[in-house]
Amino acid sequence: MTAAPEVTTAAPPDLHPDALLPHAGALTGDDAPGAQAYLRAREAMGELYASYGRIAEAVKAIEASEHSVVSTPAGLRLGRPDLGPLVEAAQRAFERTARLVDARLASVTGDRDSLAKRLDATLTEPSRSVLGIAQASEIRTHLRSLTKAKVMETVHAAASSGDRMTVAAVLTAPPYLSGLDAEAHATLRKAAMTTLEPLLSASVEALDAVAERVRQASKSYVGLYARVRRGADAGPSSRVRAALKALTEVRDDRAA
Amino acid sequence: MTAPRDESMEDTLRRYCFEADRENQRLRGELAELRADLWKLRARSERSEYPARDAEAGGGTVLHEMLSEHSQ
Repeated sequence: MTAAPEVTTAAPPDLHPDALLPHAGALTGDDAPGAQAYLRAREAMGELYASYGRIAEAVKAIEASEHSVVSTPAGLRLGRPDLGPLVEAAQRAFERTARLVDARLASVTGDRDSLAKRLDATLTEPSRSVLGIAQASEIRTHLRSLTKAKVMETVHAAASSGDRMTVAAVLTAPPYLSGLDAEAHATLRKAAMTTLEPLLSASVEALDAVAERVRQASKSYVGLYARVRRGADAGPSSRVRAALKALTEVRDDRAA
Repeated sequence: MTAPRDESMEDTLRRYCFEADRENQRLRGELAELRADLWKLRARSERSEYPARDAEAGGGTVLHEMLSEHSQ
């Protein structure tokens, strides 16, 4: 496992990699599906946490320097720091973090999608052989003769008793071929996933939650960086830049 | 899979399940090997990709999208 970043009070705790621990259960252990994706998600969180901490520390240091008294030709006054270097440094940090988090997040969602495909393939596999196709068709014909409630009950019971053939017959075909609507079909799919493939199903769910946590942490990080940029835009150095720009762009219309 | 003519449906299904399980195990093994190869390739491509990306003016990542939403 990658080392967790040093704990700092400058970054919120929900950006720390350990914020993913509530979802670690299904994703850790030898040969656990999604274990690699979990490590990648922790790396993304570690990067966000460390980078947030460094930017926040720099902001704090700049804010502290604002209260220093400086000597000017007009007399003593409170110093106003130039935020330009802070923004430049924060931008470099942001670019690096954005690339790393993007790569890790893509890896997490890629693995999640692969696991979801594997889960679906495992559940529908029995109805893909020649024998399975014929049986699945007969099963669906039988199910169509039942009421919707009875179909639900039958398929739930099939999933609970490990009857993968019946479940696969329902899941491989459109809902109406088993006498169901889309909503009931989706409910059965979910129930079959958790009953017949609990490990894979829990991994997919956990990776969804982990990816969402990384996105939320990314939003917090982006929020801090946006504040730094806004602060600089409103600061004296930006007014100086704007004034100089206006001065260099002035044209003498009388010369024309 | 060819079923003997006198085989009962139950035996056919049992045999089918046994063979499907075996195939499943084999595919899981193959998948594990492919996954290991994938990680090696991914690690290699990330190492060679970063310097090129460093030269870019930024943008195109999830965080850049969030930043542009933030600025609107």
